[in-house]
Amino acid sequence: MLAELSLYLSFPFVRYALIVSVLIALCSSLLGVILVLRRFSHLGDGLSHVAFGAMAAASVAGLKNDMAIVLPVTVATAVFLLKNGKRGMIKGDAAIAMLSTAALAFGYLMMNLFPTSGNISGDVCTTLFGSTSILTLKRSDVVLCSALSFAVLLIYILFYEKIFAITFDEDFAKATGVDTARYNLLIAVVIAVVVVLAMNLVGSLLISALLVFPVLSAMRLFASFRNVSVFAALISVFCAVAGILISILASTPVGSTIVACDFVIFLLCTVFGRNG
Amino acid sequence: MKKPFLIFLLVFMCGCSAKKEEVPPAEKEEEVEETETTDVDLSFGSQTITYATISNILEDPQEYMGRTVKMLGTYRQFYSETYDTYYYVCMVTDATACCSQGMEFKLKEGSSYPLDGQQIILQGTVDVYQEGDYWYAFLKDADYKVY
Repeated sequence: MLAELSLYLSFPFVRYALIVSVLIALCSSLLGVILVLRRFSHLGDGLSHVAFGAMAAASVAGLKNDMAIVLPVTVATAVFLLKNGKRGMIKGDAAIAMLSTAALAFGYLMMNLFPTSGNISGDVCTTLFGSTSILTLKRSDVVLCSALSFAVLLIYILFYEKIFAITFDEDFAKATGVDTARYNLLIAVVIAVVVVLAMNLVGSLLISALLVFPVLSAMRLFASFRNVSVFAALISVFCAVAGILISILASTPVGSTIVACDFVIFLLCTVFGRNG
Repeated sequence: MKKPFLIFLLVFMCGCSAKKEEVPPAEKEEEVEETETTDVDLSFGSQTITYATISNILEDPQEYMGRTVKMLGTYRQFYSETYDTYYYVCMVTDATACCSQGMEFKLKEGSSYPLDGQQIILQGTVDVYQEGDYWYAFLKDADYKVY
């Protein structure tokens, strides 16, 4: 098995997949902490469906690089849903449900009405479940993903204290002079970027798992925000790497395998954690 | 609360440890005569890697130009009325089996093609050809064995 793994690691696209998956897992876990604590867990799911719709529009339009449409549309949707903090979510999860299902339906409809390949179901399935997308990255994709991931990490580190304040008590943060509207906008943009990146790893339907499971696992073991963030990142990276290696060796879909690993770790943390 | 979870976990781990019986690669290799060095051997092992490698070759053939590829797949042939030509393809599916890729190939002079639908182990050298406005990757001077 080790010899086989060593052979597969000699393929450049496998190394690209591991590099990108580590960065995406790191970013998604850190952003996941914010989403879970603010009770926006479904936001990742909603945004990924909107991104799917945008991706369908981009492929119908014949764009070689769909990021030109997907990223701005997803960012705009995130801003719309999160605008002005609590007041932006006045319609609650209904707004997410409305946008995500409509985008998913319109996306699939467009791909059927204006097909760009002979295998529509296959293309949809791959985008929704992330079968092998992460294993078909080019060098330029890796550079772009890496740049965006590093930007997300930098923003998180630089604005850690403000993000912490807004996450736990937005009203108090505002009262103490923090420009909550600006930081909510920043969080919305960062979440949208992470969701678009994570679609390559686990597909549209499973993104919530990547955002939520590592955080929930960490919360079973630790109580402080910092410890939860660090441990969520470690779990997420471990599961992403383990998921890719297992899927390569066992011929399983990459996205589902990663999520399965996340779930197993969550069970272990639940059993052996402080609340178990 | 912990007990049911522990039991569930034990059952889950037992299920995960059950291995599928597979024919070890060495047995398959004996059936195939290697006439040249293979740079990329996809004839055994992970379906995920095979599918991903074929996708990468088709997407960016320049990276693999001149390299010998060996793969296991299903032979299919297709006829194009537009170009009045047959295409001979070795098909592979991904792990979910919802997607499939085909690596086109051309056998050495004088060779006959397999029966449609046969599983074959194919070996050939990556090259490209132009048809219409597009360039396509294929395996030239290919050879095969029925699997």
